[in-house]
Amino acid sequence: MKSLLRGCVLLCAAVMAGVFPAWAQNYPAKPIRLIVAAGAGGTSDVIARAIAQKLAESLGQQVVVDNRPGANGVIGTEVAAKAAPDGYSIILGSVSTHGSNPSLYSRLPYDPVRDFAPITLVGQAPYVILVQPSFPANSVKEFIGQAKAKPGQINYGAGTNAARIGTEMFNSMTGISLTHIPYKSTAQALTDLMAGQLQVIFEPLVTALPHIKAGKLKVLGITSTRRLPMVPDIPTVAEAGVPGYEYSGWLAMYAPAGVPREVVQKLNAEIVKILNLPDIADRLRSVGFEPQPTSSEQLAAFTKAEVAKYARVVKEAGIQPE
Amino acid sequence: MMEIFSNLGLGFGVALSPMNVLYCFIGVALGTLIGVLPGIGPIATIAMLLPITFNLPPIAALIMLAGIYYGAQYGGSTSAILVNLPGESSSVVTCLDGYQMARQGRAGPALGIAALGSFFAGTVSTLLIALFAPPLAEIAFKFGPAEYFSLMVLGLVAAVVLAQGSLLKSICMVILGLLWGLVGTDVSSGTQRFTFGYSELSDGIGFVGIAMGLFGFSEIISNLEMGQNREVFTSKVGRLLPSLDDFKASWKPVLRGTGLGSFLGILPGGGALLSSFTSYMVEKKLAKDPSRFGKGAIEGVAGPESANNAGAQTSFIPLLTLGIPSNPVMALMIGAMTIQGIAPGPQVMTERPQLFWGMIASMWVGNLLLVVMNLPMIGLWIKLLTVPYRMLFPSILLFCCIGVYSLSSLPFDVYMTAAFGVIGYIFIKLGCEPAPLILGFILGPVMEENLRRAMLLSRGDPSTFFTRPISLGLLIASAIMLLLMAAPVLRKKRQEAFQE
Repeated sequence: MKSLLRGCVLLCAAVMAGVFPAWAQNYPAKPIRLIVAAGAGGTSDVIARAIAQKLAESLGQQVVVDNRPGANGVIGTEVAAKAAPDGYSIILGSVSTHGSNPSLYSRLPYDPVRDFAPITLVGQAPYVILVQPSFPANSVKEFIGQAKAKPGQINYGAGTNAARIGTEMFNSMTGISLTHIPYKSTAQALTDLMAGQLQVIFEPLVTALPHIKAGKLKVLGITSTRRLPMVPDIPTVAEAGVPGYEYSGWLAMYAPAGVPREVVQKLNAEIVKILNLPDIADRLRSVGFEPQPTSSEQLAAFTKAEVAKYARVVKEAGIQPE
Repeated sequence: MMEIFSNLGLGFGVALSPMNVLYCFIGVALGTLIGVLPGIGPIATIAMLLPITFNLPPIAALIMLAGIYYGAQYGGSTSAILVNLPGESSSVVTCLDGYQMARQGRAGPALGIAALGSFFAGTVSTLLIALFAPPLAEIAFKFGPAEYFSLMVLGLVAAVVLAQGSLLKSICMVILGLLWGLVGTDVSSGTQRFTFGYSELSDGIGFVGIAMGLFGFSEIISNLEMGQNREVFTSKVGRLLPSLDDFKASWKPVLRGTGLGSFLGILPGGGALLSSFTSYMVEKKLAKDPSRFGKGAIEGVAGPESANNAGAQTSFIPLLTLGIPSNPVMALMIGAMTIQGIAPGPQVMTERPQLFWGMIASMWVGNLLLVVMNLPMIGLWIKLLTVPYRMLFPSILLFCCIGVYSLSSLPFDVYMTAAFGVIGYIFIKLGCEPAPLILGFILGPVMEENLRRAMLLSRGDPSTFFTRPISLGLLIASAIMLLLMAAPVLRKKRQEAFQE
């Protein structure tokens, strides 16, 4: 009886193995769900919908954006991690869900490396360091000098974990101590910076740009590795006195771990093609993301490196994981 | 002055082009619809429509999205008046007297005064935006964490004044609201508070669930309890439009509400909501006979409705002039602008005057469309009340559940709303009013956040609340209000003592 059962299982497995490649070739045979672990209307949602539209055209199947906001992306990412690994559920992950959350939550219900099959990086969004126009520093170097002269007296605002971690990383790499004032949104923090309640803020370039152009705020540096063609006058933080400092928000596509290799390859090929389309690239840039398609192996290495980086920063900054 | 006229002329030229009038109409019609449907708010609607706006010209897209927002304010008051369901946080107050008016067969005048008051407020605040947008925007900068804290204190004191019955009960309700507001992730440390391991609770209890449960569901339960003989306010529909007496009673509250709403709407964070609560409180304080409030006083509808519409309009000021969103809807508008390649900020007014003034003019056009659309519809809405309960109630419940679920696709939220329905029913039985609780629930977290922020900024020195003039003024106002409130109570106590 037992051997009969085992035989059955083996037979089934054999049939499955035989069927799988063919099944992957037919992929997708039904609509695909693209999970966004954030509310509708936000930056990642806008990007997800733009990609979903093109993906649906090229795959010939509907791609439905499923917004699962809440708990800093934990809720939606958990849904994706536990979804069937058949390629019909994928997620647009972010620096929070797949980079810093493991260091911020002690009981995270998913593992960004173990539970996911990377597809491709989507894009990166650099931050800029903003101060009031009257602040007595015109460069990153001068700013560090000011902060060293007045330890603990300079307030920085952060409306997101990402902004906070970027600033804490700056703190620990320069040996200064800026005081953290928490906010629920970057918009509130930006208002308080302009009103003079705060002295400095790390803000995504795209939302900071209008205030810089209007002369309401002064920019000291950008956190990307290289200067951006869009804003060639803004020096990188690394070149301006903090060598090695690099920090960006990012978005990337993942499938649940265990998805057939062929499916990952197919999705990678299609999404990379989409990210290289001029109109999609423009759409991404308009919300602050520089498109950066990669191979799934590159994304795997990138995710691991990011998780390790945030673990280090969070530990050095003394942030207690929840 | 001439400049204003030429600017407004430019704006109306843009707003009155047939295409833009059409998009404005689509926006306000859609807004009214989702405002009437409980739970489905402007945030979700605008978010879902964002991708569609990719292909529209920028000005048409923004006119339509703005129309959804203030259209929803109109629609929200309709369901508040007719079925006691606040579709929007700012229409919670409208439930208090609006629903009572409907029960007395005066749904028509209530809807009418809400529409006309809103139109008046919309007209005035559009003018205000055109005249004073840049200087008004600076007000937002005067409000730092200390000022917000004091403003919230004032709001909470006002919450107690709102209440009908016993002072003690309403204080208890405010405190309960504050406690419920604590649930969720602590902003400063990221600690989970009272979430009991449910990640669904980590962003706090949803406002829509609480409001729907406490107001709508509980009302339905208590209506069912009355069995076959439950009150039928359907047979006596009464007149459709407000009478001359109604207008006489309402014009001052409308004026005051407009003023309050215009001012508070500018402030980031819950301005429109605070303005409707504040207006209600002011009207109740000024009324010759405050006891009529909560029993169908038309002033209690006219004032807050004007206030929330004025507030909704002026909340565009920080967005248009500074590029700063004052509430989540405005944050979405920023998203819409960025998608269209417009960087929201101070330069919009000078670099794209057609867009700036066109949008302002379209707000007035939209308000006009809303009145024209809503006044003839009053009859239709009231017809809705003649639908038998056995059909009306299940459909309301169904729409509520869909609305709650649509917010974040969590069945948990639906269960929670049901639970709040039961709790609300118990409150009705105990004679405890949910309005102060709601206010505590909304203002509490903002107050806590700003208290801690102000204390962090002052490095732990509480004198920051008394040395900043605006903050001090707000605290003094709260103290005076507390005294005014306590005085009659003390007097009554003394009288009772004498009688014995």
